[in-house]
Amino acid sequence: MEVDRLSELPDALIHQILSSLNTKERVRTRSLSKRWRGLFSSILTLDYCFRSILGDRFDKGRHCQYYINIVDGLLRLSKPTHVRLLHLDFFIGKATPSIPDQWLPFAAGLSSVTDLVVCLHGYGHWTLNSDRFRPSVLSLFRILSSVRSLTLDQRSLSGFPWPGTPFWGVFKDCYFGCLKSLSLSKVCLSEKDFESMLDLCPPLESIRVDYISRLMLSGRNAYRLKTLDVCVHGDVELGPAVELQFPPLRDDFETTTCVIDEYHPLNHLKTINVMYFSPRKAGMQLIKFLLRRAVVLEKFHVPMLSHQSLEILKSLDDLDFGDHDFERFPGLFDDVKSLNLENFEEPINGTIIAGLRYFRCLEELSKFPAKYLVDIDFKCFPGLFNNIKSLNLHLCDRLRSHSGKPTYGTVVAIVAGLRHFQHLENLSIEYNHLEEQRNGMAITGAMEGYYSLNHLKTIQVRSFCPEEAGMQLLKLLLRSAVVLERFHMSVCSEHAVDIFKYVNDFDLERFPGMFDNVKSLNLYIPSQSVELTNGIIADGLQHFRHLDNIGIFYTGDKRNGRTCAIDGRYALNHLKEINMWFLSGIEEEIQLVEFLLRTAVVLEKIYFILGYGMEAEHVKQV
Amino acid sequence: MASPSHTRTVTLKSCDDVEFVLDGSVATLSQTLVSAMAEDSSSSDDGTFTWCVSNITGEVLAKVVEFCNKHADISSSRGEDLKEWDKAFISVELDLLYDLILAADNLNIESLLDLTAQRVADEIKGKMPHEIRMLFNIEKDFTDEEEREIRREHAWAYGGESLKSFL
Repeated sequence: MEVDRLSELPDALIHQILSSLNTKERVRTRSLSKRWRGLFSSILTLDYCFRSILGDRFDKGRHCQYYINIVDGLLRLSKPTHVRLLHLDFFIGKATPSIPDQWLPFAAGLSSVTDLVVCLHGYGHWTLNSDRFRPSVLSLFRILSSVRSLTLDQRSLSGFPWPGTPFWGVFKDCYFGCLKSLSLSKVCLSEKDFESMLDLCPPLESIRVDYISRLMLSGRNAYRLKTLDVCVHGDVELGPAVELQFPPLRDDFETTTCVIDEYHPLNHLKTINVMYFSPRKAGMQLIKFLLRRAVVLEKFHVPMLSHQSLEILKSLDDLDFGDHDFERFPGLFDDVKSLNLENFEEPINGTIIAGLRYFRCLEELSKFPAKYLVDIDFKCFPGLFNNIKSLNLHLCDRLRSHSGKPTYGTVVAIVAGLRHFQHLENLSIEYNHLEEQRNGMAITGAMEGYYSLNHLKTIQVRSFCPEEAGMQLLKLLLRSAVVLERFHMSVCSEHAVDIFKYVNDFDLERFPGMFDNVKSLNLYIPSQSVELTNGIIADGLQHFRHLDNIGIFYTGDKRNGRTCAIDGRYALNHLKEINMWFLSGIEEEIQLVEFLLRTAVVLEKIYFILGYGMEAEHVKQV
Repeated sequence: MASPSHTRTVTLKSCDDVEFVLDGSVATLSQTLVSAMAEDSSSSDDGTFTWCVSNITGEVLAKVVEFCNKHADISSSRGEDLKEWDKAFISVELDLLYDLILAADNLNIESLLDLTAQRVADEIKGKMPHEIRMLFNIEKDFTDEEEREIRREHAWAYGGESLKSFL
């Protein structure tokens, strides 16, 4: 017979082997021989959680009695004084028994346990205070004075989330003398309870919490902190550095704040890695807290999503985040490439604009109210917009000052401001709220200073409203953008008529296709129209080469019927449809119709809606 | 006093006088060597250090040195590749496995101890007591009645018995 060298190994080595087995396999080794039976009793790590014993096949709710019986048998085999790690699951509520009485002497004997994992499974609404469970738990936690690592996991068997439980009530009589690491999983603690709990503990090295209403870390209790894990769900392994977790939080998590009080440095913190950052007040405060305290911090990484940039900007204002914090980590917001100020209701103040300079790598600025270009003190922040390649300016009624009077010099602001966007490649200008705009924009200032935008390749003007100031702006832009390749303009069709007045102001030689994207044009021709004669229409239309359809509305009933010379000799190669409304059959109209029919070489449809008094002979003439 | 980082090479001598020369950085995997080097004041100026392991044979020590060289080499110790290597490395006869466990314990090489203990545990996993006994030549010093009694205490661990009969 060969020798049994396995059983001859020293106890410590066999324990090492046993620790690689699950509880079930470990229990089976008891029946190998007398030596192995004895070895089992001296195991130091008792990982007796439900899953490690029964696996996933058993339902926690229905088989908890079975589990309790098994653990009961197992605990009887171990000497409590030896145990270093203990993981137990408890089931509370309904008809389930509380901790079996025979466990209490065992718990009382756990004098050298260092790692304690307690998982409480509850049914629906349950509390520890009112339950008869409480004295039992209390007696178990008397041993806490030797525990270094405490994990409390509170779950509900009937799903998640579940109402808060005053877990704290159990602990206030305990003393956590040696505790270094505290992990609270799904334990709802009020901010006050958590604070009191931290006060009971010596300064901890590791805290993991979720579902806490407010995170309160003071220099008093957090100065030894190495790991802080603020997390709702997630089983991410933590390194020696702080990893902040901001998973998609529940809505009610918004009330969370991290209160920052007395200054106390975190002398060992070297890395902060923020996952799933949510730039709410709490998150920003926590980051600020850590940045201020972590005096030897080497790496701080916050992967940020551009769509949150506005929130970050707002938080900066809230928190008085300043140069002090950014000097050390100048690249904090380098991930943010685009900023969209849409829905930003409050008037932008100086802090927000100053905050912009922390977004060093910003390439795209959208919905930027043009007015605020005036407010930016470019002397203080030179090069602020040097990286911006794409700018979307918003001209809207917000441009008007609070008094309701038009803001002086919006156009001047744009013209003056744009010179600071030296690397701009795309510019789009959006007109909104046209009616007010027409008044608001009426004031133009002296457009001084010539500069060129050497990179600007595309200009897009949406809903352009043609009037003096706007035209001046466009002219200036066209003059400055020396390498412009594309110029797109969309004109609100009801204002297109005005463009005819200015059409010759455009630098049409350089941009012959300026109005190429105007597909549809509606002209309202009032009676007694002196401005919009057929001559002007014919003159203007030649720039709208890509028109698909044109609508001409004659309004008013008195017409002088003047005709004038039409000298347009061009073809509208795309015009397929002409609608003419309320024709009264006078000379002026007939002349325009004739002109259009001659010009629209591929015309497919023409509709006439006759006004009253229309005579048949005129139709013949057509 | 020579700190491990200053020692360029370490000579390991087995009980049957086989010598292995290790790089100083490789030797730091063994806590025993680290503390021995730290205590040693007689190390020669050229930075060599000799350590005799009285109860490990040359054959076993060769395996240990092979393990240490692989694990100290940072370029090769990357995740999956290393796991594969470990798996191939530890596929040895039980006798050599026991020797490796004892050597890992003696030289206090944590990663080797974990690997060897895991290998034994893997052999035990999924087997019934009589199969384990047969594999490891463990002598059953219980009577059949005693064994039945032990099994009855933790019937849940042996499967077969229905949940109901236990409850």
